Amino acid sequence: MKPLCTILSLLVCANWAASADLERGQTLYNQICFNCHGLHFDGGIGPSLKDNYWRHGDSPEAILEVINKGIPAAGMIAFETVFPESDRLALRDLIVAQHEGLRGVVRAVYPRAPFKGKRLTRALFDSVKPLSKTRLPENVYYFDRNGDGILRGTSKLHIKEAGEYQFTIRPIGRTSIFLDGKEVHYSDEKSKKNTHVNRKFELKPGIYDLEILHEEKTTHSYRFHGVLQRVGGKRFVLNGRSLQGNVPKIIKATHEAKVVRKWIDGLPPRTLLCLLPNQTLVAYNPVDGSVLKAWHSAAINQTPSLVDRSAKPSEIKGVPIPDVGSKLFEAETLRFLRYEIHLDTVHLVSLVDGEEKTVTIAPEGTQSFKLSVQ
Amino acid sequence: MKKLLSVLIAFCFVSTTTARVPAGYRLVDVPLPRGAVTVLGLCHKPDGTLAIVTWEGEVWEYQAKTWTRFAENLMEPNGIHYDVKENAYYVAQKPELTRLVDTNSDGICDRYECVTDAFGVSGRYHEYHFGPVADSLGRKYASLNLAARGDFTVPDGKPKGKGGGNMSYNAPWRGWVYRSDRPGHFQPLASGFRSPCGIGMSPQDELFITDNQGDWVADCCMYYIREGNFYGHPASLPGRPDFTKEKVSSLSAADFAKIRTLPAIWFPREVIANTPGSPVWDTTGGKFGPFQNQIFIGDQRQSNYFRNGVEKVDGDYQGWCVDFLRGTASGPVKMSFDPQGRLWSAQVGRGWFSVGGKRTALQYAEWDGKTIPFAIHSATLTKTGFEVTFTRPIGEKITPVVASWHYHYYSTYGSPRVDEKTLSISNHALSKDRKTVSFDVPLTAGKIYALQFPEQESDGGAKLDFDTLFYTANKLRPAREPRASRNVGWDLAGSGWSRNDKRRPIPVVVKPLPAKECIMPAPGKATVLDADQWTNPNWKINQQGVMSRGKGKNSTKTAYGNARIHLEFRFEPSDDPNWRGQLYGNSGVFLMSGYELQIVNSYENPTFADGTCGSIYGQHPPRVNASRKPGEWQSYDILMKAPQFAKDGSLVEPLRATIFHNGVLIHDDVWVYGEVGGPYKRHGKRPLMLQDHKGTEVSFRNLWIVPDIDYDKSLDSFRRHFAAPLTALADVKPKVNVPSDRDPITILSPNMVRDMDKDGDMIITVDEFVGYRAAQFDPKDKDKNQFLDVSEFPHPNAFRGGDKNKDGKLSREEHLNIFRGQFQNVDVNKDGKITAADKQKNRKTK
Repeated sequence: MKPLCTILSLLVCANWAASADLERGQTLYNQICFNCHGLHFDGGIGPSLKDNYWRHGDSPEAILEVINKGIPAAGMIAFETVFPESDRLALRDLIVAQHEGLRGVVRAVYPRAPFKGKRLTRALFDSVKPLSKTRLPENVYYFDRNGDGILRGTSKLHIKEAGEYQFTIRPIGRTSIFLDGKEVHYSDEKSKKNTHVNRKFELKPGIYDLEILHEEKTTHSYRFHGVLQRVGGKRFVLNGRSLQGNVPKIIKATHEAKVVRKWIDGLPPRTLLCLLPNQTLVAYNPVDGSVLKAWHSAAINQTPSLVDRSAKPSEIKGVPIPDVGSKLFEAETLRFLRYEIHLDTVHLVSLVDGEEKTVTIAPEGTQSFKLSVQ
Repeated sequence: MKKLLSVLIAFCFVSTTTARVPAGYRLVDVPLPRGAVTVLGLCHKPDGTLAIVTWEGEVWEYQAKTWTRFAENLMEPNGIHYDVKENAYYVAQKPELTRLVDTNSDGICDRYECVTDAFGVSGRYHEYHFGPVADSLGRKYASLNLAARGDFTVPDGKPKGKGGGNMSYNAPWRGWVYRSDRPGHFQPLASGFRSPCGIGMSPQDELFITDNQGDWVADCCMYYIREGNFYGHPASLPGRPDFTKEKVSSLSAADFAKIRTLPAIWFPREVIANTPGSPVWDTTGGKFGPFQNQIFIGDQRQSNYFRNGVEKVDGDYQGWCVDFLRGTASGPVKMSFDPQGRLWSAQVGRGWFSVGGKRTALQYAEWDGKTIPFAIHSATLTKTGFEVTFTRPIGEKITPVVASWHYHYYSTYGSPRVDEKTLSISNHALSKDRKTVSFDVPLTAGKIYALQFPEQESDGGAKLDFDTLFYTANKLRPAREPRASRNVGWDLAGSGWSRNDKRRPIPVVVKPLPAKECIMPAPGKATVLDADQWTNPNWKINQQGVMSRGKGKNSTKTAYGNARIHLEFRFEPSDDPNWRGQLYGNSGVFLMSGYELQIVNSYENPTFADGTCGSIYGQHPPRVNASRKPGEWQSYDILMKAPQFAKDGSLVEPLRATIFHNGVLIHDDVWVYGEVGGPYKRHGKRPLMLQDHKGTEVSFRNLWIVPDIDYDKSLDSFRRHFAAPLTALADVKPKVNVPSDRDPITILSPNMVRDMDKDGDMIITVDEFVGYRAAQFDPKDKDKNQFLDVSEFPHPNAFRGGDKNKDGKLSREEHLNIFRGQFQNVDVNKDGKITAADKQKNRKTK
């Protein structure tokens, strides 16, 4: 347990000397890193460096460690053999500078009894042993279905824009919020005053220690909901859904064509999403034999559907190609039979008025597809 | 960093559960493939290869401790089946039943075939698709979940969303189980399911479905599936030809209770199951211990495996369940025995909370091959009580405790145990081998019996891991079990019925298409079957070309195979009550001289289902009864495909037919099981034959045949041959021979029973009885003075008796007391409730 606590405290309390050489970092990034992580840090072959999910940790130390040692299993090389230390530090700082909102989220759950009738203070929490303490890779607070207890959530808050900020906390149970050790919010559903809209406060760009203490009655799931908002600007939702052990899943084009079946908002549930090697995505409806839509530079983000018993649809990322909708058959009877993948091409076979017909969808150029019916 | 993260995750607090595994068994974890994997289903190939499907849409194979990915990017495949003959996997994706083929044998699927997508998907949450399983003929079965929200729920008068029916029928065939016997084929089998996430086929080709408690489903349970039956959730009923949404909405629990089939086994909630998965049968021949042929099911929430057994009582399956092991890592949903007799389970704890705690897991249970754990082995209902068998001889002290209860049937989410009580036990007996205990208890049909053996020890002092078995006694032992039907060499595999089963639901009566749209002249390529084409001179043909049934069968001179056939027939009207049922105009079209399409008058002339006009006799009742009156000309339009045989005479493909009766589709690509009197025997083309049968007169006209037609190519357009929408005749009540779960109360008028028995369980409690009367106080109290005077309660004797304080008026309490007293009188047998058992006393004895 001892080394673990040390690691945790490092995560929470570490201060590192930021190198100011972000420009050098950006130059290196634009030469090497963007190939996998995208020009805008939003991912490509490799994961996004901007989103909330950090499978190898999001602390400066963790990021530097990945830069240094690489992730061989994922094809990322160890850059300690490539760049001098100053360059690696510059890259680290560049990546850390992209952070916005919560990072390094740790959820500790405490027993209820010691807090009964007492004000939620950090000192009181420090005197009680938590039931559990978990690093949440999603960087939002969520709770186990069977969880029971009081939350102490600690994290870093990365602010990029100066301005007036305020918390909005759903008036359930009682909640205290501390920024750099100072209480900036307190609400209690039992108190007569509507305290959930909090007073405003100024924040400068920088990294703050954010601590949330929260207690509510046990129901089948926690109802805590909180938002930090820059007045007239960006919102940071403090709570969210767990990926429940999954990593974010984005289906991307590869050298072979793919046919993907996922629920997409606005498309019929039987739609076949044909993702071609040139990143063109064609949505084909096998029920009536029609091309519905198409996109170039496309991928399918399955992440939203991985949580919450798949009640949420997957999302298509990409640039819509206009005017592709067309019905391919004028037939009395049409029955979809099968699809096959032949290298970069998808074959969709239907029985059309008793005759087998094959729709072939193949890539054309870098941003288009060609379609034939035989 | 990876190490750091795993250390951190390991620090996560998990409620630890202690596994309870019987002596001689162990539960083994199997590591899952790297990456995002949530296991939803699994199956084994005969060579021992395991295949799993995942929520994320992947199929993985596990062989020699190595995982390889076989297919990906599917949509929530919720179950997988390996077809040995076809060397292909079948998966139930959310929108489609799909066949996965690896055409180039590189271990990766390259051909995704749509087997069927004939069911609806609205996209609303909870529209899961579970399965498939297969019968011995290789036909696939899968089940379709209702949607969690939507436009068609059946709240039955209760506030919507507050327990008043929350599952919705948003698209065709949701809440149904179906069969698909080849690509393109879809046959809805049975309705009334809510969340049928378990599906299993017994070694005897009997289909079982497990369902989850909720609205209209009192508790988790397992149903024995019989084609055409309704299993309780009314939101699925609009799929039937005799229901519309409007009709379903106008009915109440008491109406649905009359047509529903009860579960074979109830699984008491929180004790045995909350989300039961698929049943599997221990056919390992003893490799998995002393529970051969028992049914194993896992529960997703309870994280257990439990054992079950069924027995036929008065022709229907019912049975028992008992816990087997507890403490799986996550919640088992699907299970499979491997060739070594190990019981594997796909486990998931996502979304719903599972006691096991993990998000997902793959585990198997195995037996050491020698230790017989001390456990309740099985139980059977006797005429007067139960016989319970243990795996080992039991000790001296035997103190069973028996309790019973039943459930409400209503739109509310789940039912509490109703009328739960402990029963007195008599006539204990122990078998010579000290393994079987029998005892008598008061038995009531429709109850669940908890048979508990607290502190029971074996004669060696071993304790039971699980001391309670639950028996569902829908029925009590009859004086004599019904006789089995005649064996003609084929079974109605997977249909749940036997040949000529009198209890099978009778086809719904619908309007035929107008006669002029059904009379069809022979097309150019057809052979007109006129006088020259027939062989039996006893069948006279008049000048108008009308042929009358004569003595002996009548065959065509030419033999036929695949064909498109049209014929018209007519029954001579008869008033003779002796010529009814199968004797009112009986003949038959014998396709290829052996496969009978029944001809009998079915217009207001009831007979057994698979003998109705339009039935494939003894096998398939017509989908609906579209008969015309005797005296009117009727038509059959048939598209048929000859059976295919291998060189050794074995059947490759059965005879298939798609048939219209009076322009109404009555068989849709139906699988014919065999000849009318026996199994398939290899043959080539054979003549078309008309049957001679005892009965009133039948005549024929306008018979023609188009030989050698390509059935498969013609099928889609033939199905659309008549554009007749299916309209059930107005107000035709479904005639179902399934008995209601309890006999009707006779001591009160039917109207009173309907008004008082709010939950439709044919039990009126004192609360229901008095509550109904209490509600009448205010309407009676015309002057609103909170008392009833004689004019407001015009029953002088009752008034005098009720007015205890003699103030000439009845207070609310005095009014109610009158009915409390009345309840005592109506409850003749003094069991605290009014049921069918309370009979009117013979007034003469007064």
